[in-house]
Amino acid sequence: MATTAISPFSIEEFLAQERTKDLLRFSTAGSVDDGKSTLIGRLLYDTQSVYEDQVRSIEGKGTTAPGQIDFALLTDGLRA
Amino acid sequence: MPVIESETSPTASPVSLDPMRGLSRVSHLRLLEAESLHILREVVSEFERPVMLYSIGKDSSVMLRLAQKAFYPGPIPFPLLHVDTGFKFHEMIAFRDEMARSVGAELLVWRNETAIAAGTNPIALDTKRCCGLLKTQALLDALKHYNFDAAFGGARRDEEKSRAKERIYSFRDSAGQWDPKNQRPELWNLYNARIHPGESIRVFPLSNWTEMDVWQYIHEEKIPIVDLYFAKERPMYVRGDGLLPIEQAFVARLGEKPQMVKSRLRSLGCSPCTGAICSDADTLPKIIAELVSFRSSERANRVIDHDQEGSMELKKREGYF
Repeated sequence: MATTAISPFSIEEFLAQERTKDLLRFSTAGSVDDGKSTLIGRLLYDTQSVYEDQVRSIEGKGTTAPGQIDFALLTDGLRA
Repeated sequence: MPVIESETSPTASPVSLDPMRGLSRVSHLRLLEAESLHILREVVSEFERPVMLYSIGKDSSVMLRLAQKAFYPGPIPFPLLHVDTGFKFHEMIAFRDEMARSVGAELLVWRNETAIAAGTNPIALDTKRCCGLLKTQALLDALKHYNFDAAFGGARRDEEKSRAKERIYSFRDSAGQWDPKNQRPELWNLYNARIHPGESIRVFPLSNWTEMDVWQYIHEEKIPIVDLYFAKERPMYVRGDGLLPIEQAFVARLGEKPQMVKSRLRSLGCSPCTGAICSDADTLPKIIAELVSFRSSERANRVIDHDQEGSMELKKREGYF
């Protein structure tokens, strides 16, 4: 397997790459408890769009098995 | 672009799977900007007395620039309101007055003078009660005093989980309170602006922006921001991993000595409750580069978000932004 050299972070390259991005509007439709928020939370997590302290704040909470993250809690922050 | 080349039929031309091919691509920042301008104009056309909450931070700076663009070459058709707790950094206050002057906007400043005179501070009280008096109560009083029916705020959905599902038009009852279970559907770019007398809405034109979008926009548009965002040697109280800026004498613990630390603020709030971070980022490109490497959210160093479980939601229900 070929190894690729990791080039140092270049802000110009980063900004040029960002300028080529457009927006993704993502909708989920479903009934209560079908998993709409879980799906969105999982996508946020997998795309590294959430920070460590945000993940830490939901660990051990929610309705999933012990040791698993309840991804819905990333956006379902409301107490009630 | 993914391109499929046919091996079996050498005459077939390559097929692009990209539905946007041939259309000019608009960068995500321009799309976000267009959405925000639409929201600002909708509110101005539908409400009688809108106001923009101007908190002096980076999000407010972006929102102010968008307000200028939305109505250019006319003036900004609503006043700016700053709720001053008396604990903002002095650089913020100087910047606020200069910005209001340079954009030619009317600036209203509201302070809960009764609570300030009574010596309210986050150490004498707890942070929850301090915020309640100096921010939430002051804001509700100001909105009521001026009879504003729509108030723009710079909150973003990526900031905090109680803001993640917030509407663009967020309804408040006649007491200024928020019921997250009683909000209206928002389909596409259609916003329902009907309210009864005494009710009001909070409007969040930056809902869909991320912290990174805000910084890139500030960089591209050359938007002025408070110097506290840029790293330089500043006196700080060092507490474990945390840095507390020295602005108010009462935050010092017995025998505590300040140290000079190259640091900056990632998010601006009241000086006793806003931690700084160690940083070398003294330019916008360096701040953006630093942001790419961050593993903690910008509100991790805001004491008031963590004073109890669900604390932002509780503050919001009472009327906090």
